Amino acid sequence: MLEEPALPGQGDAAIECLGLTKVYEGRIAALNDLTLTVPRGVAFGLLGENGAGKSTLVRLLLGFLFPTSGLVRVLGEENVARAHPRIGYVHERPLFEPRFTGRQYLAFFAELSGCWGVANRARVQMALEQVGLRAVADRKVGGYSKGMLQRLAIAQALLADPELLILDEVTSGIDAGSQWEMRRMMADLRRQGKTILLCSHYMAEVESLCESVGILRRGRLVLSGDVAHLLRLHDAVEITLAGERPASDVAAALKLGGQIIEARENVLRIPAAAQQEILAALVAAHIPIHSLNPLTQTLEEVYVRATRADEAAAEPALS
Amino acid sequence: MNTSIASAPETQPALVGPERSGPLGRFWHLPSVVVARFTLRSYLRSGWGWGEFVFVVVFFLVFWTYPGTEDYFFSTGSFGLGILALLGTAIMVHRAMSARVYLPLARLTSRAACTRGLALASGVLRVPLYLLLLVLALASHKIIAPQPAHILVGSLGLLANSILVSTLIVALSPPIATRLIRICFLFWLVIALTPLPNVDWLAILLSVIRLPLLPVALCIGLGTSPNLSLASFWPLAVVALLIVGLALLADFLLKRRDLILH
Repeated sequence: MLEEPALPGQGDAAIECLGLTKVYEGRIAALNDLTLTVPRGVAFGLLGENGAGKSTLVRLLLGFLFPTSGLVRVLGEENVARAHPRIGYVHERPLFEPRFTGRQYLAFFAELSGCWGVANRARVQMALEQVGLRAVADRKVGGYSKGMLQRLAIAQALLADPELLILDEVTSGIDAGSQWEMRRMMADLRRQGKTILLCSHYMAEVESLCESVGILRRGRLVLSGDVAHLLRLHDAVEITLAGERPASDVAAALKLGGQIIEARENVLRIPAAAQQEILAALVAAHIPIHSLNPLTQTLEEVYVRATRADEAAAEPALS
Repeated sequence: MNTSIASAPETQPALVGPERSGPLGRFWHLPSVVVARFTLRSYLRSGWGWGEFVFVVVFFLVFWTYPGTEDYFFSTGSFGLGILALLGTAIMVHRAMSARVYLPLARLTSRAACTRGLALASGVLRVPLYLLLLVLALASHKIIAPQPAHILVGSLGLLANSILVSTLIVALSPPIATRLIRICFLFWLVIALTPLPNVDWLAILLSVIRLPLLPVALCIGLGTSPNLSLASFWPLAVVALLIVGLALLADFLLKRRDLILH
């Protein structure tokens, strides 16, 4: 793990994983000693490539799988099934029976949550309105577009007014308009103070919706923390040198190697934190500077940096 | 290892329904009954359920070309409806226990509601299927000299056996049972159905091994027993216990399984 800044409010966590390991039959370690805390009321983004262990973690959190070792606690319950009535779950694929109408489907899920009769109908209607499916509620689910199916999935997750929403790649494979609509809905839920665990491949989505993020790679949490903090942590400054001398030569002459992110042509890229020290060294060595530009990182860059660093760290061990 | 989806008993969630509902209303809205109702509706809408009714009609047309005795009706009916219970339940469980089950499971405090719901749905479906066969046979006078008492008691025996087969299939289906359990069961079945050999000790051993099949065989012949008394019904009670036992076994097995469904 590169950095793991303390998450706020760990005593009041919605999700706690402690040394969580899951080894499937065939000895494939899908999760390896994962320790993670998601405080209540926080939108947490879980990033990772395919096979990183995101789905395994979600299944462990919902109790579909049992950990090989370690501890999972969801909404204060170690027996996570007891927390189910307070969790809304949206699967990565819309898993609906095509021969039922949207309304019938939601009525079934509401009934499973112990809500029936007049209350059932009212709750279903409310959920349909929340996701904008009221007009097509009595159409067979088989005729829904993928975006509509995902909205129906969100509606079933909202039926019991859950404290925690686990959204597994809800915007994957849907058109841009539907994605925008889904993100708007998620932002609304976040404003309502719901705890959200969002698994996604879309960095911009996580960056805009989540306060905290965790990056999984090969079953390990390689980076986690507050999104704003992580972005600031990796803020950089680009210094364009005025002379003919290559930036790499300058870096070598001034022995700046350890502080340089990248030296290419006449451009030095340095961490924002090291800006003053390096500028002082350049001025002291009478090296002319053409310009200085602060660079704000995106979550995508943070992700690539974290996974590459992990890969680089793993290579010597593998060799 | 502290995480468990299914160790909690099947409890009714806090109801948000009409306050005047009685015990029947509460039963109707038990999670396992809700799962059973939904599974049945889904099975019928998919066409497989109606396929079972068609099977019964075809089975009747093939095996009742000429009128037969009550004994023939119950023995042949048990065979046909037993096969149907096996196939139909296997299809129903295969459809229900796909990745689709994740969403209902994420709502339930116990996996038992799923196994019980499936057993209930499959068991309940046996009743109209049997009634269809009976109505066809009676309406077309294909049972020679039917005695109402014999028909009633024989029906109970046949239905008990059909429901036993369907519950057994639920308990043995993936992901509830492992492949090893299914292999062990088939191994036992092959041994139990082996003809008794001449060697005394082996014959005794085989008789013990096939003991669980005794109440099943007695249930088939229940409708044609010459002297019916209260004591004649013990096989029904044993089969009922086997059904309950298998349903509990299915709960026990499923709550320990990792669910990796596609």
